[in-house]
Amino acid sequence: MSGPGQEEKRSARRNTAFRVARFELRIALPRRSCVWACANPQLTPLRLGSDTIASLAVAAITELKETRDASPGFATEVDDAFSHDTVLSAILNPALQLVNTVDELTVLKGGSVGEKWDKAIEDKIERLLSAAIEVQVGAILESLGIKDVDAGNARGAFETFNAKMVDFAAPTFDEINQTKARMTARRRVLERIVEEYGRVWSEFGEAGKAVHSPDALRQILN
Amino acid sequence: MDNLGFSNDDALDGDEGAARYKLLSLYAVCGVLLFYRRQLGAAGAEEESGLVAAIDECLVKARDTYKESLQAHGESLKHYVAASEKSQSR
Repeated sequence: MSGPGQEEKRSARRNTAFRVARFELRIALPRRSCVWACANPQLTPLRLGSDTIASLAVAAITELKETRDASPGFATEVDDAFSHDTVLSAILNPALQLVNTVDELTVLKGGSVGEKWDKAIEDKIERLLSAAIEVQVGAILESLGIKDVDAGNARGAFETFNAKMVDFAAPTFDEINQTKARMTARRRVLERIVEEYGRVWSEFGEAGKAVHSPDALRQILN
Repeated sequence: MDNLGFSNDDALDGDEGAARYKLLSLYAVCGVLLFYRRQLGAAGAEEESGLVAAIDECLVKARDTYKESLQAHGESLKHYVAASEKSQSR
């Protein structure tokens, strides 16, 4: 005997089982979402945050490495086409060309890409950080009045500097999410300001009646 | 469509998940073929035997397709991100 009520119950049980299966798939296959999506085209593909070039590159490298480690066929190296180095070159060469933020480069570096590629990524991070730091340093020196100092304007420059230092706030580099890189950039900007101030101070400090020595400025900024 | 039934349509469509899945599958197939080939060699199978020749032929095709897919995957990263952003903004 089956009435409309029983049919509804069966339907509800099917729906519950479907929801549980989908939930378990999401738990079991967090990094295999592509496999899951292909095997279950009727279900909504799982998306873990926004895709970036770095995250997609790391996903491909990691999953190819996992496949390689799991297969006895790759236990003995037979062809360079199948090597992990070939995977790294094919994925990281274009990725490194395209990625232009410290955060994304840090994601790439976290993909266990080996010493050679770590070095290439670190070099690019350094180039980006240096460029960002120099932009900030140039703007700060200009705002503090010690960018183009000569004997004629030294006194006014140091007066402006002293007045502006009261409200000085170091750049925050909010565009960099990685705390370590952000703190490094901030520290290096302050070091560069002390360095530039020291250069101006040694040349025109006496003529300009400078109040603070470079060491005193370093203390203030720290 | 290549000889192994894999196409680059997913790369063209910007479907990174499907393209990566196929790349991983190709790589796994290559691993299986390499393993079978090595086992047959260790068991003393003749180079001219039909099975060995067939595996060698499959291995060459699988390797070439894998190489092309890997290259295409790396070169399509920007395209995949653009497609992902487009689909999320819908």
